[in-house]
Amino acid sequence: MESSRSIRGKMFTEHYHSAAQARQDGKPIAYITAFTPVEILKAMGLVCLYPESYAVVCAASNKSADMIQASGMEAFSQDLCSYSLLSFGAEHYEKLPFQGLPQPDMLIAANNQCGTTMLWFRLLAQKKNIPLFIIDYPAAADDQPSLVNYITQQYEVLVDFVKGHTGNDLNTSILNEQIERSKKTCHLWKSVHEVNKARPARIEAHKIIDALFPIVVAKGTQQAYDYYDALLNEYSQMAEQDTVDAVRLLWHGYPMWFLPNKFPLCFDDEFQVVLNDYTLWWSLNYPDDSSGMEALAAAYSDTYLNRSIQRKVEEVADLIADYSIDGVICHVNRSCRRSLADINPLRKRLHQLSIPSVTIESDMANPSFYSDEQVRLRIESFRDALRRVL
Amino acid sequence: MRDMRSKTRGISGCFSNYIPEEVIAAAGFHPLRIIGRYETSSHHSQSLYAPVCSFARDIFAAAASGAISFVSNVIFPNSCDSLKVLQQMWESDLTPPPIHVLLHPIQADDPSVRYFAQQIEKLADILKNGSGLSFTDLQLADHIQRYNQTRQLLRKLYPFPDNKPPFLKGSDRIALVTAAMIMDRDEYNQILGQIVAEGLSAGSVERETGKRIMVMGPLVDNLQLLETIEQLGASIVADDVTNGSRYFNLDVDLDGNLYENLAKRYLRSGPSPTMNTDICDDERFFRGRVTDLNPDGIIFINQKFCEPHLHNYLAKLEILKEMKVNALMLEVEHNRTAVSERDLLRIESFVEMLGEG
Amino acid sequence: MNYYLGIDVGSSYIKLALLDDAETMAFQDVIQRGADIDASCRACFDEMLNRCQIDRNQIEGIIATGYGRKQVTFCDDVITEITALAVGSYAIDRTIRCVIDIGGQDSKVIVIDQFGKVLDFMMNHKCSAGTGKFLEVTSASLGVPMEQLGPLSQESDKVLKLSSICTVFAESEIISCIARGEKKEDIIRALHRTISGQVRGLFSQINSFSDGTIVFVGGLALNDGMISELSETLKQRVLVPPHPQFVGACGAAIFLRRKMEPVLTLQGT
Repeated sequence: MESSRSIRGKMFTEHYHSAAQARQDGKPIAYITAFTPVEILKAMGLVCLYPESYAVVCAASNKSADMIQASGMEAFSQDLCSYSLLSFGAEHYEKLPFQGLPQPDMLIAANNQCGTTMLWFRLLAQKKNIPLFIIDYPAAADDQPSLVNYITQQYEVLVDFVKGHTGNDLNTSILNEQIERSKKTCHLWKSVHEVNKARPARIEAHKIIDALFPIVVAKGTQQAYDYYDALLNEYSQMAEQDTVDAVRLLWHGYPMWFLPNKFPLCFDDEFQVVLNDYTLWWSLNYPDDSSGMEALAAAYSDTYLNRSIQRKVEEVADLIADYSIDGVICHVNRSCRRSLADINPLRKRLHQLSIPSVTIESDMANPSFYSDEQVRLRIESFRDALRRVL
Repeated sequence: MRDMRSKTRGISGCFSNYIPEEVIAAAGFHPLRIIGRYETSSHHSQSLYAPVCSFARDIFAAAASGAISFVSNVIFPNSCDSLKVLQQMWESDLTPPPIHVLLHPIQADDPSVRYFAQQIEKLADILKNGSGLSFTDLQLADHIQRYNQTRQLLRKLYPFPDNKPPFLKGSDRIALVTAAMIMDRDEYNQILGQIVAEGLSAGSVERETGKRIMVMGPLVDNLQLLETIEQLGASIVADDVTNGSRYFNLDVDLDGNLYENLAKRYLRSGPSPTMNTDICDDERFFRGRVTDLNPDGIIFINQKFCEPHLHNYLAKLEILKEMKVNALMLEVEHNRTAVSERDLLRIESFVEMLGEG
Repeated sequence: MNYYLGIDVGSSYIKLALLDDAETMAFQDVIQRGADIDASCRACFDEMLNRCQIDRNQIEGIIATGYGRKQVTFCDDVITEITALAVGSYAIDRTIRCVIDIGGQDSKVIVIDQFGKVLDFMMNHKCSAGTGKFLEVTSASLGVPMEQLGPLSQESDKVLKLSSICTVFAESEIISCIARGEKKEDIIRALHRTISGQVRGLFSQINSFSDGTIVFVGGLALNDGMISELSETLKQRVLVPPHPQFVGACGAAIFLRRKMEPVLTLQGT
């Protein structure tokens, strides 16, 4: 079996090189948001690229400050989502990772993670003067039949839109294949996390974050499935660590992509982040009792950020029980307004469960909102509190 | 408000222009737009993390201080993430009245209209249960007519598209529209009818004494700011604000399925930063409006951290630069009535700059 | 000889510029802004009359600009500092098309046309990032007086990057830098670069400037380190006039003189 590291390395390079090649070959390219139903688009021959994922690559390459400056919008860096700022910056910055993303032929976004995606992509569409399609996923909708009906009708319009701009038809068998693989890959991805239910945990969460890339950009591919299969195999065979069972922490919310280990440096053998629930957002729930467009409507309308507060909080409470979590660090990510609503209700629930928690205010991709000194102080205080409690 | 509570089944606090007021009224509640300033304890405003918009933070502080406890229920749209945060925090951190979220689509095509019609009907059922008052289609149509009358009268206040000099200054027009969101509808229509009749019979009044300005933005309920703009040498000849021209575009059709007609009207009443209107149509509409109006400048009055309107400003700025129309953006904090020194300087400098033209 | 007095009431200092009929500077002074702006201005005005040995009735007009302009009760007119800076800069050099002013509490970029008319302006509006206040607070944490910042930063030979634009965060970051053994001159230079970055952010919102001389005015233009960082950041040499902190007050006085000129001419005929 090929090692996961080898597969991931190939996928990373191939993804960006094939994107550049697609432009040369005249294949239609779409920029899409993280939870756009990529299965439909792949079944219509579109090459799909993710500006958010690329923003992560740029932030991790320490390019945030320079790219935000190049965006021409740095005066609004307190207001705009840092992923969007990086995407605007990529239009003008020269030293981009992988020489940047090729220009798209169209933009397709979904609002099932936040309202910002629609605003960002509209601005991008205006600047690039290219067609835009937005899929509307009303948040926390409790009337499933009418919701699924509304969304599948939008998918029909989407298919017409893509056909209108590419001439390509929807290939239903590829669609069903993609959905089936996405479903299996999402299950696998969830299982990868579950190795850390064991005590002591097998692997630190920031290493699992390194494995996020394939499910974000290549969910319906055999390669992504093979990768997580190999990864799960490796993790399962990993010997239990000799270290003393560390205090088990959950990092709630976005990582900080500009930090080498994605979380502040202060973790060691005594305290370990065993789970970052953000990575589980990609474990979508494709229903067993429906297929095709209906299954996609159900899965994509039920993304984590699109759920009610009550469901989100209970989900985190379940994770705390399942993963034997001792403490929670909540990242208050200024770029993601929708996720800000979670923090107080979650902390209230954690208090009821007698789980200590702390908040850290920063940003996912813009290091100018991160103060190392302040964060260290807060985490040290939290560690002291945990030591007294446990 | 005490009067209103005694005359009706209670008060429905609501946000945004996407909540159909006539349905609320038909169910026996008085629809009250939650705007303005309330007595609050200052520490509550910190409860919502920045960068949630200052309007949402201020209203949360008001709710936490008990200043909005007189409402029987609150109806939220799903227009933007700041309102979503407000709604979710209100429910989880405070003891709220019943809160309903009206899911409105971001587009206005036929599937969206059908879906929104279902949601409006669902809201109607919830409100009927809440008030204990049912209503027929005929009764709903009656309420729709009252609200249509408001829209028709308000359109007469605005010179656009005729461009005749308005008989009221801009800040007064916006104040009148804002009053519609608060007052008893019949009383309002009567007073507004008188104002319109008097104004129209007086004929055209040359009111444009200063630089001709259009204001754009979300809810601009700080009327003192608008008056300050006028005192500093500008005439607000037009607006594109939530409590201005965006409130009364289009009437609701009375023929056919009323819920679908309501959905159509509310979704198709014109471009708005929270809707995904076709970008080319949006641009064409905006260019046309600016060309016809020919303002000396445009002042965007945005709430601090309001995402949709900031993006709208960035989009429109590109167009205005091409059209060589000067623009100024003010970022205001909702809990402050007094115009800050910085904003005074900005407005004054802007008007001075236009004056040299 | 008749005179025109411009008073620029800034957030930290009050600047007076007395010009004669030929728009030549006859007197200039700067005082710390006290709690009572009007009283401070009057005291400085009286001092000026005394030192210049001129009568009150030789002053044809007094005009105030700056944040505190409306609190000067004895002036004849007021204009915003945007206009004052535009007029003052254009009077220095008619090739100037852009004015950068970094003051105590705000920073401005003003674009003017070939006639000195204001085409566009941007001001920072969020916080003290990119202003003199940022430098004041951060230099205090370094223990370096403001007047030594320029010369010290010129000794830097390392490009140190500070990620914080927030004054409070920057203070923490400076403490970390010092703890790491970074040199003061490198830190100061990085602070200058941070402010220049904020100015660049304002610049990027203005489309109407593409070519022409950029002038840097205000108190911070006395800081040589700030001048070089700004030039480097904007990738263009910036012009700094003699007495850059008086450009606003001069511009106001010039504005007043030209406004009154037709009236005076009529009176004289």
